[in-house]
Amino acid sequence: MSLSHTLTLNVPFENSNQANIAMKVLQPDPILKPQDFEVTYTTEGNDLVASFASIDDRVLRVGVSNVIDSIKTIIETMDEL
Amino acid sequence: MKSPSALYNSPDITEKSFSVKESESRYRTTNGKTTGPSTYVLNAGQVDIDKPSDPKIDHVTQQPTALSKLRMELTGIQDDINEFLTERMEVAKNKKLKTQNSLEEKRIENEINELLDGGDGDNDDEEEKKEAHAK
Amino acid sequence: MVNLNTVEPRNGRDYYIALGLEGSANKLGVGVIKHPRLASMSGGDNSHNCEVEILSNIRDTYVTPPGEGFLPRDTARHHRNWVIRIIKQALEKAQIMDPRLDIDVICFTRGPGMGAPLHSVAIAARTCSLMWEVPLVGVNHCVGHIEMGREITKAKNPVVLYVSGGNTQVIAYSENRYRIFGETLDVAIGNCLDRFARTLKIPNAPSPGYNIEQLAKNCKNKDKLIELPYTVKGMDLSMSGILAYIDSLAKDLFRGNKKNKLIFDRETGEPKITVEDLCYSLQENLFAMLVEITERAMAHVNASQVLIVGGVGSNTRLQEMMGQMCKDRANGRVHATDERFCIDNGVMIAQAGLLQYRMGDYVKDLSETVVTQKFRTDEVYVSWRE
Repeated sequence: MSLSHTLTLNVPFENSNQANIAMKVLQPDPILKPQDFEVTYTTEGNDLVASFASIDDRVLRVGVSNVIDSIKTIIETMDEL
Repeated sequence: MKSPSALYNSPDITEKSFSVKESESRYRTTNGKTTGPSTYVLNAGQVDIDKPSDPKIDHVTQQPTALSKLRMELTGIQDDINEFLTERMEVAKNKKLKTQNSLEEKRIENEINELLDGGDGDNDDEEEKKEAHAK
Repeated sequence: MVNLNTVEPRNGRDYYIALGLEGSANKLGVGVIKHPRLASMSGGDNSHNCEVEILSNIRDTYVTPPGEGFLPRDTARHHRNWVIRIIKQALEKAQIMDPRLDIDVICFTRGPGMGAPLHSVAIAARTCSLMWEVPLVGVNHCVGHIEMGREITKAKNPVVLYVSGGNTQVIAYSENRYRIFGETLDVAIGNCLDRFARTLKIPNAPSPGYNIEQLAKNCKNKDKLIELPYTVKGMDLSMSGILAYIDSLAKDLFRGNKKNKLIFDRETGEPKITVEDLCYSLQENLFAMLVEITERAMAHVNASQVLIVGGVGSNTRLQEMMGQMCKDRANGRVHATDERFCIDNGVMIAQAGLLQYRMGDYVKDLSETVVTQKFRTDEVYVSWRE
């Protein structure tokens, strides 16, 4: 089955250092089974770009929301600590 | 600073884009609609005392910091994506029901219903699963 | 001989500072500790004598309504939404001015535990590490309990009974491993108590186990034990059968099932037992089983001391029963810490993590920081002991 449901998320940080940190923090974790869901992270300037691909919308929703939760934690850490 | 955005694609519709609308309150709160406590605990009477933290306010400008603004806008985008994909899931479910007229599919559906709803131990299984998580 | 000064304190300090983050179950704990750099630690076997100073120990527990357990997704949400605020509080209380300069290592629970809650804390740990450019150490939750217990009680080499909501193990140290001598074959004892508390629908604050302990204390019929299955199996024990049975007794009591002659008087139809009686008998039964398998391990390794760690270790009746056994055996004694350290906390993670760090064992690549629900105590190489 192909991962035909895709979503690209663009998160602009204050500088490229922050975007790079965010990418490194997110990279290690497998979110769901690789045959159902894939995510790759890159940076473009100050932006973190997360590219998601999934077998259907239900799996996509769970994976994307999970990663956004992590990104919000990363942002809060940078803001407050 | 730019705002977060997203772009969705799937085989059966043209692409859908998500962006921040400055005027709408959902992009100016850290407490998202789709990221509250699960319905299960709310139904059990849980009062939510674990909401996300408030945005950090810069004491010079008296405005949320750039990163706080980013967190709030991302919260709104997250709600947009979750709500959109939930709608799409409903559409997909309804589509399935319409095409489900083959005898074979009906037989399998009955089999599944019997397994899930009929006989002892089914509800216990659900309880076991919940309790296994809720250590 | 072990050199605990293999890695020196950073920035010319003569002490180490470690930040510890714990979130494997429903307790979110953040702690900051200080170890002086002692010349004596360069050669010896003194990892239980670090002269630790606890600069802050903050904990927030996710509590559910009575009758409910805690689900991973809601627990993770609690941890995610509180972790930064709690870290901030802990740093302020410890008077850490600049984490970049003042902190030697960030320690976090890598496992075992619930996946989503563990992960939400790991994300914060990784971000702090990269932001502040401070090394990171992933810690085994159980080893955290053990090292905190050793440091606080100064017990050098006791048999360890680790009893919590998620774990029940009897452990003895041998050749750089905390070896599991006995364990539960099904549920952890804390889980058993928590689930019975749900059946009774008693409050979950401060913890269901604490409330069962109070009910047991108030039992008026301590001379009449309700007979329950006793399921020790060699060095191990099983508890799910006992739980199923006592759940059925409680349900019969609540539903007024007069057919159950154990509970209702044959003639008058009045209840013969109370909820307090059930709690008392359950504790006596489970704790007796724990004492038996602990004693078996002590005989095996010729130990006279027991250290009880984990949330259930704060139960005074368990401490009492274990203490009696130790005294009877070889005039030994039982050690336990109070609820600041018994119950999951960040300080214990900092303690175990700092020992690991001082030996030169810290994260070289973030791929090593993926959390894991299963992480056996004996998987850890205990480099900081001989």
